[in-house]
Amino acid sequence: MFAFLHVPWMLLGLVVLAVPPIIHLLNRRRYDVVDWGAMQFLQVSEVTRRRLMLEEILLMLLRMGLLGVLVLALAGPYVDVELPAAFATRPTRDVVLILDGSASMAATDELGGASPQTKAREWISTYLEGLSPQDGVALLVARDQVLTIIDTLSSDRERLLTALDRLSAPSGSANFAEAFKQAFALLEKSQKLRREVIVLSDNQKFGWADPDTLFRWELLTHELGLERLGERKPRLWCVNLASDRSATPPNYGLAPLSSNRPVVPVDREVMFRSEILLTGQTRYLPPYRIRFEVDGKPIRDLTPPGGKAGNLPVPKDGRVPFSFTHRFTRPGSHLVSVILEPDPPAEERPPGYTIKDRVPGDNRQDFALEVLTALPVILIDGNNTPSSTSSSDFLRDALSPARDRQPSVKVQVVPFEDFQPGILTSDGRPRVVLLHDVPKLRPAQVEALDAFAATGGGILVTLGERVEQAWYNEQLYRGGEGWLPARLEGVTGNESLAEAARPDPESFKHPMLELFEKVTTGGLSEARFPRWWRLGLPGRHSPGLPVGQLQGPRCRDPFFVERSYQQGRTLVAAVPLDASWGTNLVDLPAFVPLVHEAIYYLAGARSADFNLRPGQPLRWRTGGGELEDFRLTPPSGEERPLSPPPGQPNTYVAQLIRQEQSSQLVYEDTRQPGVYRLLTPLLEPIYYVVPTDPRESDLTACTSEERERVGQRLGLTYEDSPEAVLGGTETAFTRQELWAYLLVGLIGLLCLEVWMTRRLVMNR
Amino acid sequence: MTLTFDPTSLAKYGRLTLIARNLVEGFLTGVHKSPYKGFSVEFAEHRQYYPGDEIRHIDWRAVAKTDRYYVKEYEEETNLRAYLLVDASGSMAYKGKYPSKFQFAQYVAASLAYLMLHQRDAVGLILHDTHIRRLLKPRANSKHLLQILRALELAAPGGETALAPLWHQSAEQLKQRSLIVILSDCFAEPATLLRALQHLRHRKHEVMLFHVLAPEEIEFPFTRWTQFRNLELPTDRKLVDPARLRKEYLANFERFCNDLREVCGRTMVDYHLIRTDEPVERALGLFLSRRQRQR
Repeated sequence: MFAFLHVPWMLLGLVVLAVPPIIHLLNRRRYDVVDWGAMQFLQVSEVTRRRLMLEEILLMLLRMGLLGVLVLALAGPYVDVELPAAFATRPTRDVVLILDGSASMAATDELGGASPQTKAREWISTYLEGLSPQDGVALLVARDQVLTIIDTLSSDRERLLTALDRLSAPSGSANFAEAFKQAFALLEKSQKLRREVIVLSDNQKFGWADPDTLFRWELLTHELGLERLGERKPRLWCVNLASDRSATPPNYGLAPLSSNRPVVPVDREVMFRSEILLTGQTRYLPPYRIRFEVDGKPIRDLTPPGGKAGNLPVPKDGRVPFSFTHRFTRPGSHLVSVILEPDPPAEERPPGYTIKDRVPGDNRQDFALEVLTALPVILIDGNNTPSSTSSSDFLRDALSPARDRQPSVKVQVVPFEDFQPGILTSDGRPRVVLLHDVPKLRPAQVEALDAFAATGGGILVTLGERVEQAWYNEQLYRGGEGWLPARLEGVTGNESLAEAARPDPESFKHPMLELFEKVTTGGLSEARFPRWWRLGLPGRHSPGLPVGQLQGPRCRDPFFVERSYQQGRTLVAAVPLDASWGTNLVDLPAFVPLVHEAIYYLAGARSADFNLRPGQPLRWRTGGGELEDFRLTPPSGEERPLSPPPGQPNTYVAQLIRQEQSSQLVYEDTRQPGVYRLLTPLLEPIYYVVPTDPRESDLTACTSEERERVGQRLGLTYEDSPEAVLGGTETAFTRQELWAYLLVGLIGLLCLEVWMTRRLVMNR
Repeated sequence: MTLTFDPTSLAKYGRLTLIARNLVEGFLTGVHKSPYKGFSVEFAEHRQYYPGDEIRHIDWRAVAKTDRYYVKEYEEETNLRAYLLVDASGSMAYKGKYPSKFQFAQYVAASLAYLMLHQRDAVGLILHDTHIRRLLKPRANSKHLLQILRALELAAPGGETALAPLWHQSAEQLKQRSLIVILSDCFAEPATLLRALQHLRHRKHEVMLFHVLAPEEIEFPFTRWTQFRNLELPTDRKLVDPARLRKEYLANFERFCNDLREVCGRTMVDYHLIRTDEPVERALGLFLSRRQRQR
């Protein structure tokens, strides 16, 4: 079949064929006139007349042919012909190699042999040898965010191999859909006939054929228009570098680390949780060791779940949870790390020992958290009348007891009339604002609270007698647009304890309440609320989420309602959290922990800033200093100073965004999972963590049906050896690019034209 | 012989009388030894005796007086009858960078008439295109020169040429043996001209053919696309690429000239090609050298 590689409209260039006849006709229109006597000598013989005409026509056809061949050559024609392989020539090609950069690429076999990552180096080297010198190759590494290693279709093989040698160890998971998109964008500029994308992977199901990825393939197919591309679609290959790996190889991994309090006070116990992820195991054998480190310094070894003996059945979900506590003695940013060592070191292994863990890259989890000396909180009291006692005293004492010389919360009580908006943006900026039974606020105060929540602050609203329902709904809830999480429907219940509502322990699933789930005596479930505010959540699309439930005799209402408001978090309680309305809450031991949990939960709104998603920018609010004074250590990278775009040599590119009160440092290249350590001008380290996806620990291979499904969806061919990929194009070799032949023809025609013109000139 | 006149500079003088006189007198002044001098009855001058001179021509009286040998020279007496046959057809009107062929023929004819009458030879004129327009019988008096010049001056080229029939007609009309000087581009079939010249020769006429051509006709220097319009037949036009045609044209032209020369050679006609970019004196020189050879 004859077709053109480049846009067919280039063939419109064939109109240039009309140029020689047009020039000829124009020449004939522009002539001199001579009155002549010797007319009989102008009479040429019939033979000469024919010869002249023939020469003229031939020359014109030759020039038209020249232009035509040139246009055709530029349009990149090719023809599919069945030629014997011996006569076929290999067409030039542009190739984008997508190397799987996920942690599973470091998995070894039973004997600890070469990992797929090592095999990929050999595979690419062999493949490159088979390419023609003019073939272009680019290299992408598919991770959570794709790394572009060779960003142009380069024929420099040494550069590519050197870049491969310098690749960091595989980590995190792979986003192949994004890598395909970038590969297609690179090939979009290619002028070569053969354009190929080769994925080098380990046939892991996760990232290639899991439900999320299958959905991504669907989206990618539509986004790239794979079905519409037809002949222009690059050829897609997938190479399995772990073809000898069993279907479910054994592996141990760690689930991401979490804490009940992302912001913790100094010298207070904080709990961390994680899980051991088991795949390909029949029994759970406790790991050899679990190390616990803070800021990179060993603290202690954790007791493996299930004890030292172990040998327990594997839970259904393959997860073995464990937790541990720690007290931080210094304020500031801290990095908590848990390192799993499933197998003993090689020298300690008994003969015939079977390795439990294949992937070393998923045995570590980190968690960044902020430790504060005392959490700054402003308590805005709704009681404006001067008196020695106030209902807000309960909250103040719960947070900051008068006897405690080093309270974990530093509370500043302000009557609502005296509340100055400037207090929320001053140097002693609070982390949480507590509105206790405030009737209403002035517009400036509302505006300040709005800005406070939007920039990462936490607001707790307790509702009591004084609250003006209409004002709250109109100014703070604003039909779901304001920061108030729920609409106030009205006060319900009566003073009778017998008919009072009580918190339903079944609803204590929220991180803020889970502490009270199993506490029976003096716990939150013993609280009684004769009266409470009914909090309205209009439908499924309400911005607020209920936190706990109040179970009344005839009703069931939210205890708290929370919502995320831009960078901040707000919480509204259905009760005033004091002794009013005949409640026994303040008498219960659970009162103080409840208030602390609520406050720290709200203060943790900004903790997400330290534990990032891949690609989520790293931000740091700084009081001063220049960008060059900060230094950064990314995962598997060296410590370097920062510089503004476009960046200086040996620096990392970041931005310093100047704001009214402070500046914000933004570093965007957080594509690689791991720990990012930012060193401030005062040499204070700030830790940021991009956690790895625990699903990467599951080495389960794709079944042939799953491979087939993805292959059909993308129009992709599975082939393992480089020779097969090179030789697999054998049938395609019959596709002949014609531009080279046309070029030879063009040169031939050019020579003929020169010869003919010269001959005509010489004959004159 | 020194060539002193540029044909283009002559045009500004206008009247042929003056031009002819200037040409001839200037020409004669430049020639030290007059070819017209010979030994006749009318004494012209003495000259020193050189060995080889006939002894009977020695003026013994002068030897007696001067004791030196002188020979006597005498003015030649001629009875030459000449016709100037001037082609005034359309093709003679071709004018490139130089005067037209007809103008050039006018100068040459006028000069020859002046020269011959100066020598007291009888000169006549035949002007023709398709037909004989003017025929002046030969006379030897000086008034006749004015008639010839006037006839030449009033003539303008035009009409189609049929040379051979005209020359045949001339041969029939000219009864007395004469020298016929033809000034023409001779654009006709050489074969037909052969018969016409044979006819003239048969009538015992001496024929001298001045083949007047423009340099453009000889060299064909045109390069751009050109429409050639026939001077004799205005409806005949040819649009050609001269560069492509040049080789063929030159071959045709050379063949024609060779044929014409051959025709002249066969008929004992004195053939001279004169170009309009050459001085008119060349034609006078050619004429006089012929006259000298005749003696």
